[in-house]
Amino acid sequence: MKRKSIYSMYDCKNREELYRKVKNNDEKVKSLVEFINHLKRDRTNEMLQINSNIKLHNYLDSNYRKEGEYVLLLDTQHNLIKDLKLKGNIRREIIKEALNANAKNVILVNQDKDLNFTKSGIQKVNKLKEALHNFEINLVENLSVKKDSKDYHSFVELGLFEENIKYNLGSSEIQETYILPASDSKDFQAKEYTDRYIRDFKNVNRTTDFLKFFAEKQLKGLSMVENAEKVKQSLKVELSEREKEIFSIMYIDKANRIVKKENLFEGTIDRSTVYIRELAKKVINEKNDFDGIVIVHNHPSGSLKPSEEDILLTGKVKKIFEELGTELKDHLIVSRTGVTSFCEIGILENKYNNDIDSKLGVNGHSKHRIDFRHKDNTELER
Amino acid sequence: MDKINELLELYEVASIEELEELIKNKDEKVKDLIEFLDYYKKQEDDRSGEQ
Repeated sequence: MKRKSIYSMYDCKNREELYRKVKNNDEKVKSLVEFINHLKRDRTNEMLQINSNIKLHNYLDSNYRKEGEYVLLLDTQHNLIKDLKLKGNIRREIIKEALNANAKNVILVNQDKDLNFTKSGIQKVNKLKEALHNFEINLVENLSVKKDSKDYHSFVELGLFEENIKYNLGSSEIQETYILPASDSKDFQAKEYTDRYIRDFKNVNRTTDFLKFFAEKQLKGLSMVENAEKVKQSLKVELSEREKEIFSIMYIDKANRIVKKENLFEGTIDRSTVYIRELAKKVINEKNDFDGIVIVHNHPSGSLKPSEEDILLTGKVKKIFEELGTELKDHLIVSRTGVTSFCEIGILENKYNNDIDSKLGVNGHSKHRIDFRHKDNTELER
Repeated sequence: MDKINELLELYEVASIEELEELIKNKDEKVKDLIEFLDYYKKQEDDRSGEQ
């Protein structure tokens, strides 16, 4: 059935008639008048802060919503950035929306769903909290509310987030104001690359940009397995003589080929989770198809040895990539003395695709089978 | 804000924010509302210009 137009809904023949009714504050178009007033309100200094249960309930009471699951995205000060309904893969959607909105705190709201938290439901929310924590997103509350009812269930009030889980479910009125815990995010310090692509050589006027242009051009389509040395050489050309630390990522397809290389950060790289958030944001919004990621950074000092921080960072990145449904294939350190591969030195497990037939599109009669595995793997395919 | 519900029902959205988002994204679903809001704005601008 065709949906009514706004004019027919308000029994108007055209926009002129509807405009007259709006201007006359006609009772029949009250909803539209209210909506226009809502749009017209001064938003310049408006930041709705939701840092207590009272404020949360007031906000929910004054904002009509249909049955479903919602997420409120808040900044470090608990100012509301976005309020949206969740559909599909809730975990992934929250991560994506929170990273894109630069939200640090989130509140889950279950509107008009079952108020009672089951044991498995509690575990699920706690697992979600843990997963979000990897991206430095703080799940501060999970609230179930019913329309036209004072009944609600709050994770914070019932102590369901921490070890002190009380299974004393049920509350009928808001007892006291509790302050929602804030995340302790640090400010992102590394400089993000703005000139992501240099498509036209005519625009390249600095040596470093030329090297970046050259490396990106050279690297595209190379196999991380068959052309490993060539890949290392190209990265060395670009990054080994740079005085500043550069952090790059390479998107790898199922056939282990480089789809795209991108420099993300330059300068003193802060290896905190805030920085990981920026990386995750990049990956989650990438339009190209890819199977995994290789992260690359240079050591201007010339050292090839991974630092403790590099190893810790690798572990964190691996974990968040798994959460995003992709794989960390390798971490490369580039210096003027060479390139270290975390796969080759055994810090990372070799995750390159070994299925040669599907890779080459051959039906079981390939003449040359190449060993795609790490040299530590004993079995050799020929 | 109670009255706003009928507008949300018409565009099958759950909240005012969602409706605002559709308008911002110039969604086909809210084409008639955008058209009216543009007309409304033009009329208001013309009026303030006259004054």
